[in-house]
Amino acid sequence: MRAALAAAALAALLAIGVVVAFAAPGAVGRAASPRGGAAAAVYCPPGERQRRTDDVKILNGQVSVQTKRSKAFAGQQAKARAVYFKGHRKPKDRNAFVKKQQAQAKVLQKQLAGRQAQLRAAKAKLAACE
Amino acid sequence: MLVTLLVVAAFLAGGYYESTYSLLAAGVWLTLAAAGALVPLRRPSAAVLCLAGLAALTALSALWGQPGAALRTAPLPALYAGALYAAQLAGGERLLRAAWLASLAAVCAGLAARAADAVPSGGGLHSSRLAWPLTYSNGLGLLAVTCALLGSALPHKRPRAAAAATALAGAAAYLTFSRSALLAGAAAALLLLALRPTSARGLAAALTGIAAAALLDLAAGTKGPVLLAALALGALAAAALPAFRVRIPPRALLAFAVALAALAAVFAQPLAARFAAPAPDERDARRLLDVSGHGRVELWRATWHEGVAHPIQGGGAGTWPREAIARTGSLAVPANAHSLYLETFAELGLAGLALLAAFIGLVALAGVRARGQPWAPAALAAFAVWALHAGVDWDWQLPAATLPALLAAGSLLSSGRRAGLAVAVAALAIGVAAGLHGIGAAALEEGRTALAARLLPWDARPDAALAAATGSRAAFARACRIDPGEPALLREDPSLGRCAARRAG
Repeated sequence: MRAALAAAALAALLAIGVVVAFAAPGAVGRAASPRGGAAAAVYCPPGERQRRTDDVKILNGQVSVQTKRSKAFAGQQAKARAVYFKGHRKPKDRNAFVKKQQAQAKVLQKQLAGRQAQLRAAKAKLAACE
Repeated sequence: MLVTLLVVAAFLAGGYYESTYSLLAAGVWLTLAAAGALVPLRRPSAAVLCLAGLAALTALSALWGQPGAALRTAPLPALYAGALYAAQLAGGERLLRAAWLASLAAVCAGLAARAADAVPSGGGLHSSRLAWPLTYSNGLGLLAVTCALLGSALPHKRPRAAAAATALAGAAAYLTFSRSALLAGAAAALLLLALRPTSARGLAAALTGIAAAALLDLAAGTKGPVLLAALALGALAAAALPAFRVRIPPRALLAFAVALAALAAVFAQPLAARFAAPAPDERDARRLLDVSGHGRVELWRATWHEGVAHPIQGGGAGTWPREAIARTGSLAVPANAHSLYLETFAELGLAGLALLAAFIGLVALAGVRARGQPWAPAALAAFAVWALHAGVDWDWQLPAATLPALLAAGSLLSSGRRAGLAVAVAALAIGVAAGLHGIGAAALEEGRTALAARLLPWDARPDAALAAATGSRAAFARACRIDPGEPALLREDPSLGRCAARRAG
């Protein structure tokens, strides 16, 4: 009885090893690879890598658009100011116009900073997949 | 067998993958079955029975949780129960020394690979955190700290060589930039000093290694052959340290504890706020000065809520990820809660937590009983550092980080009367079950979904993977029937559409 039990245990051990070696050797190879990544498996579950890559692409585009908007506004700020000052002499009106321009610039900068922060966070999440 | 287990786990991504820990569990239990059949084994101690009970509860939670999730998780505590039983049977200083050498081998392999710039760092392309071979920096940090504690406290025939080795372990611990491992190690080092004042030399050697690594990192970076030079200098300096002891008077300990409590009272609130605040995870030495928990508080909050919703029996083993996705509304949650105790409470309720607490308490008691043994302080320190660190990270899910603590625990446990053949029969059954699961998991990881589906009929992942790979609506429908809440269904391909109905209850 004891010998049969021992033989059964050893046979089971051998059989499991052989089946894994033939049926799924890649699973062991993947775990043994330096890129086998326990951390990547935890912080970047299957399917996440593509989603996060897509997120970074989208946010890159949005940052690009926002940057162009900010630059375009800054570019036309001086011209618009000059045109306005030509038609308006009162310091009060001019100051109000400049303040309005600065407020608009601030809003655009805030939007850009927000998008950039989102992009940094998305890149950090993607880094977990590397 | 146990040392082989630790080394194999370390070099297979820390033993994290389901196929790895299932097959290792099969190996341990089938070896115990063969040994128990030929030579009557001693009965498992109460601590072993607690872990075995935890494994049984994990599998049983399939009845009230999700069968697929519970049964894929069960081989892990089964592995730990088997390893602890084997360690109890082997017992003593030799086992602990073997565990020290095995962990030293893994740590040195990581340092050598870093010097050769042969493996990626943990945390992505721009990270300088040491992670290989466990492939998780905090896990490797824990292993390195455990190695340093064992090296400091075990009696050695060649103390200078041991000091040099401890310096290497200290350097490796530093290079993981793992705040939790270093802090837990510092706490365990204090315990060790109190239990064995002569371990001061070894601890000083570890600090020497840390200093060497830190200076190099500040000066020039730690990749490439220059690391070897720094390590060699640190090891030589450590080997030259004289033997000395540090006795901490009980009054000084008390005063330190009171001062710490006072500081905690004053700084607890701002520190807690800083810990909870989101912050980018620096991938270099700067993270050692960062107090942020990097999202842990949010995870723990979700975990707590799951536990409170089912306080006695928990939500079922393996259900944490889907609960976290539901509570945070994001698929980007990590795969576990980063706290053994909270996650056990959430998934297995107070019943599971009681088993875990009993296991830890029994090992501590065994340590107190065995305090006259020369290796007992080393074993207690190694176990203590794991018990602390597991509260804030996923060491439980990383066998290479947990096995040293179990070997240390096993060295303290005493064996009772001889067991009957029933233990060998039970070991055979557990081993075969774990082995079959391991084959199924390996097939799934390899992409052999048909074989995986046959071996794991209660698991939705094979059909989910088949649906994602081929766009098969039939496979998707099968997966939804088996487990509509399976996170893999949501992640693999959202275009397939979510399951229409969730399983009730």
